[in-house]
Amino acid sequence: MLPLEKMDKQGLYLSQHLHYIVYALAGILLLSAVIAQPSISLLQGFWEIQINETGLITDPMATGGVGAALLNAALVLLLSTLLIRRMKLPFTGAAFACLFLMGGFSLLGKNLLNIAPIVVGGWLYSRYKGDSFAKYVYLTLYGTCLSPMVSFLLVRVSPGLRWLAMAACGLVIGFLLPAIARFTTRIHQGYNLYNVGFAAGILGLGLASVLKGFGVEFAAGGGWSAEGHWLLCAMVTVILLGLLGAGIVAGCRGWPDYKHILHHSGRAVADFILLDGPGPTLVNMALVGSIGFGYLQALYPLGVRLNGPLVCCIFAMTGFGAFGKHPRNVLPVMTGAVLAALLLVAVPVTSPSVLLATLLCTCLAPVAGQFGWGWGIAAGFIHMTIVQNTSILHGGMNLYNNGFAAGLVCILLIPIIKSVSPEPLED
Amino acid sequence: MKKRMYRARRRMNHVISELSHVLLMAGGQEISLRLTREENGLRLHLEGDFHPEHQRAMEHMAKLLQPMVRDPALVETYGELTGEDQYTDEGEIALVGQMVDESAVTVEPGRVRMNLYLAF
Repeated sequence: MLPLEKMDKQGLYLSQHLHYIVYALAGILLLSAVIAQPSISLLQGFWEIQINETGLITDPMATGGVGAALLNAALVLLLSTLLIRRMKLPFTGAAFACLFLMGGFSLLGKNLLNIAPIVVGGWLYSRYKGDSFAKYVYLTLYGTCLSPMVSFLLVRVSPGLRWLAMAACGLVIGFLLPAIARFTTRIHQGYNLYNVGFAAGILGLGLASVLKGFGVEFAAGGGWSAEGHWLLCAMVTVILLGLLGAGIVAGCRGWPDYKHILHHSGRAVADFILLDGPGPTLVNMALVGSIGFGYLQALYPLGVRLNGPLVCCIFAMTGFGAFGKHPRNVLPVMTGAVLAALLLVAVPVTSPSVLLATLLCTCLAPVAGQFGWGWGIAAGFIHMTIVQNTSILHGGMNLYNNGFAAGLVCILLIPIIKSVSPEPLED
Repeated sequence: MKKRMYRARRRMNHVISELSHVLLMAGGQEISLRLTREENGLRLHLEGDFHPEHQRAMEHMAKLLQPMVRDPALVETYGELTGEDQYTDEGEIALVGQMVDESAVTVEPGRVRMNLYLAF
């Protein structure tokens, strides 16, 4: 057991100042944006991103430019952080996971315009329940993964009705998703870290089916940028080294300070800041992010270049390094996913959907953490096959498609594992 | 006056389920529970024994049940997970600590006492 005394006074002080790390992240994104596009095209590209269609797998860097996408991510991250601060929530691992996902997925489809009505919908739900919005803020922010549906209506509906249609759609999503997400946690029992992705997949399936019933056709995703690789590499390196340095400063000075994190299964709720303190958590975030970054760098000779969606994946891995993922539980599922890609899936390991699935299948890391390497590899393997067939169900409108697929993997796999595993022996 | 008891009642059931799991897994032979309805919430007094080899684990649990910060959004998002699974671990105990509004836990050699309060 880690002595929790470490978390007491020093840890409390640190946890009250952790939001500065997220502000620093937003600052790095902003600086990178200006470096990438130091002209008026930055703002023009930013506007293009707001008013264009998004979805799987659309790279906003291809829509508005590298800098514009980074500016969009910085602003979404900053406003999300301010919202959490306004709600007076402590910066736990859950907050880090949520905010890194907000920043990351702003490089894969979220933007200020398409998330706004969903956030308002979440706020309306809290009013309806007579609760503080603070309780629903994570669910609401995660719920913005269905924001491509808002953008879709903004672009596709006739000009007179488009604003009304997008607002109504966003409000419905924001209002309904918290209830569905609370329910879905019980289905996968915490083995899928992207729970809202699962809930959003189900809601997206319903909404897309209704729209398809009205004759709407969902087209496949758009561009995939290859520009700005070295700038993005430098940015990611600075972020990961920054987290590592912050973790060391916060008290994680060596293996004895860190190793306890590796003993957690990672099953929700494994909030490493609450369980182990800020220092080891920040170091773990850097390590988990480095695994994703390192994997992509290893594929450089095969033509893989960093872009919005891939940086998004690195952010998602890094953020959940504070909430369930650690090297010991992510590596088996990634191994399983790569094996499936090599053996089964009829697309190369360097294709966009396979790259995303390889990095985001780590939402199933708790399976490896709880049941061991073998089951972790099996989970990653099955995930890679299932995720190739799920985006069609919601028309590519759910940005957390891997969370949706992972929920299905859990429904399939967890009962089987439990039925064949011996019951734990107790005194 | 009518109170919004439903959620507190459900949440308390999760808390009881989780804590009884923990104590029984720690070799507890007898657990005493006293649940009282107060004007603005539910109060749980829980007392139980455990095997001496779990002393450090119980002290750790006591810390997790008395967190220095509480995150209501974490509870709303994941509260349903407590008390559900056979693989009880630290994460769920920490979540119980987040779910209750007040907690006082004392651990003696082989024995633990808890006073947990959950507001309506």
